[in-house]
Amino acid sequence: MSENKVLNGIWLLIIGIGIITGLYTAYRVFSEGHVIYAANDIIFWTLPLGSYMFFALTSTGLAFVASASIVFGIKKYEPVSKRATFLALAALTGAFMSLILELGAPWNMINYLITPNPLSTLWWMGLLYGFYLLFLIITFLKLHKGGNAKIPGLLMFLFGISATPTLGATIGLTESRAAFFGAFMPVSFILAALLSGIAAIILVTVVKNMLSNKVMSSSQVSLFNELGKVFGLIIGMVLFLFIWRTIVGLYASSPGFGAFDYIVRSFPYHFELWLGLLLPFIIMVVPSLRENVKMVAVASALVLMGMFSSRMELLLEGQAIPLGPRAIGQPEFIFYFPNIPELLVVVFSFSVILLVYTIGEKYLNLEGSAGQ
Amino acid sequence: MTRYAMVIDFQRCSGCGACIITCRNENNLTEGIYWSSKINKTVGTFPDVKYEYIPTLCNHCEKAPCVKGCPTGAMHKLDNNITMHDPDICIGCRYCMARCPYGIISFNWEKPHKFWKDDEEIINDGTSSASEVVEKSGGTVIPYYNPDRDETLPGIRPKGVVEKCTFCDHRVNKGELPYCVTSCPANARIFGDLDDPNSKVSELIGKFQTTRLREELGTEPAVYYIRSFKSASYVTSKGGL
Repeated sequence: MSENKVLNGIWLLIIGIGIITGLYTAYRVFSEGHVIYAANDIIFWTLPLGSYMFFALTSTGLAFVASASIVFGIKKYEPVSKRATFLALAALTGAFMSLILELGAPWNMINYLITPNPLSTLWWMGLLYGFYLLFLIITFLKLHKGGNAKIPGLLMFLFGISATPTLGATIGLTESRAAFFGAFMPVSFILAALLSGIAAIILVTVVKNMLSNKVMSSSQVSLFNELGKVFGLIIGMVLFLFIWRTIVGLYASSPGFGAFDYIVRSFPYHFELWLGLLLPFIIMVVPSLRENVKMVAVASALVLMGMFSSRMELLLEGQAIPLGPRAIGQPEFIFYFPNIPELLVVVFSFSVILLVYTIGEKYLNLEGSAGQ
Repeated sequence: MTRYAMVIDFQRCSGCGACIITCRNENNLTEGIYWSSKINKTVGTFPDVKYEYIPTLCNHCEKAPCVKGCPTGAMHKLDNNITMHDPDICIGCRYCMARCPYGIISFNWEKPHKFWKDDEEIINDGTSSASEVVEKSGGTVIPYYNPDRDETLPGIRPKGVVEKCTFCDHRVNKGELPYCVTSCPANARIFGDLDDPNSKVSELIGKFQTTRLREELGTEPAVYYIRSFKSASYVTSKGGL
């Protein structure tokens, strides 16, 4: 057996284990209930929702990267547009897996259509992500068949850039929890999506080239030089957004912001700040580090982990302080740490993404974009 | 138009918790879920100390944030101002819990009333098992099952969906008062139609200074508190430096 076949076998085995443990978790969730999570009536949104938000944002971020060439005609981005589109599809599939395992009764989602509530941002989010998925698939099929993907690509971009802040607005329009509320939230989601998308395409491309011992083509080198600089710029923007959000949270005296005192002492906060944003920012700002492909890959991986932490921080900011009768007999801040079934939901989503991507890589020729 | 509301009289409420317990029976609530609850705390340092007790329930807000946020309309307003929930179309997203400023919506994290399915006897051949008690009492799922609750809502809500106080709409529909109102031994809960100027609730809201929870949010809660009362006195003084 060749070395490649063995590696492929191990790869598929790892994915398979991830999916099987995920399916087992799904079975437990729907037979025993969400009691298997580390959630309760105070911290009711936990890791599976954070996972959904992270993968959904990464998906739209990848679609933004793909749109650079498909929609806006920036030729330089052509080498990654097809892969970014397919990765966006894979990431969204993973996001939906987390969402299904987050919802208590996902089979009732049919009522989005039967008894819609257009006043609900959550309803709009579902609708926009639905259309985004549709045009993501059409765009990819067009690219794959070598057709002109500009129109579906434009719709993919428009629905993606509409869905992203709407996801942020589901949090941002929650007036009852001051730490959630504000126009800042939808805006920050667009930047977080773009940052995650760029990090994902850089990481996947670099790792793929490393594994296949492939040397980058001149067009790829030129693109990655530029993408690296854009990456650094967006990290810088998100970093300052992060700092300002902390300032607002700590400056405010309204009791609802009290959770920031708790968050700034938490592990996810410091992980995001130091390893998820500051270190990658330094890597991307120093030219000698930025030109080192391995360092860029490390920066991308750190950014992705930082963005994941960021979703969890966000969820905890609004929930750590119990409300009304729920506060009785409770400490000022409620501690949360994910448990194994919750971690397995993330593993499941990630494994599904890897499986979809592996299938794409093997059968769908993700290099370039034949349609342009 | 009917606009149901509740007035809670602090001077009558003794904090006995009957509302909490009887609500659980009337609505077949499972362990850990309270539609009627309380905020209680001790403030101050002995001997200058007071005990605060605020009975709580769904505020049936006129501008209910939970209703606005629910994507499928599972959380909805009835014409009579009751905020109602339909578990048959609820997706279990818990967005209503995030949006409710009062922390009174609960999620069914597991199959309700699990305990009553237990076949194990606490003392072998000495006591009945929980499931035997249910069987012998002829109850449905629980021995004290109230079938009236089925009239407007599944008698026991399934796992994976939220639930909350409905102002006992199944009783109100028949011209009966919510069960917490009926069972309050001190008559501290008064229920009625805000749009009827002759109703008791209209009289009390007109006569007394009222407070509502987190009024600043503009949700227009339909639960009013009156006659805040502390039985303390102090020697008149202008304080001092």
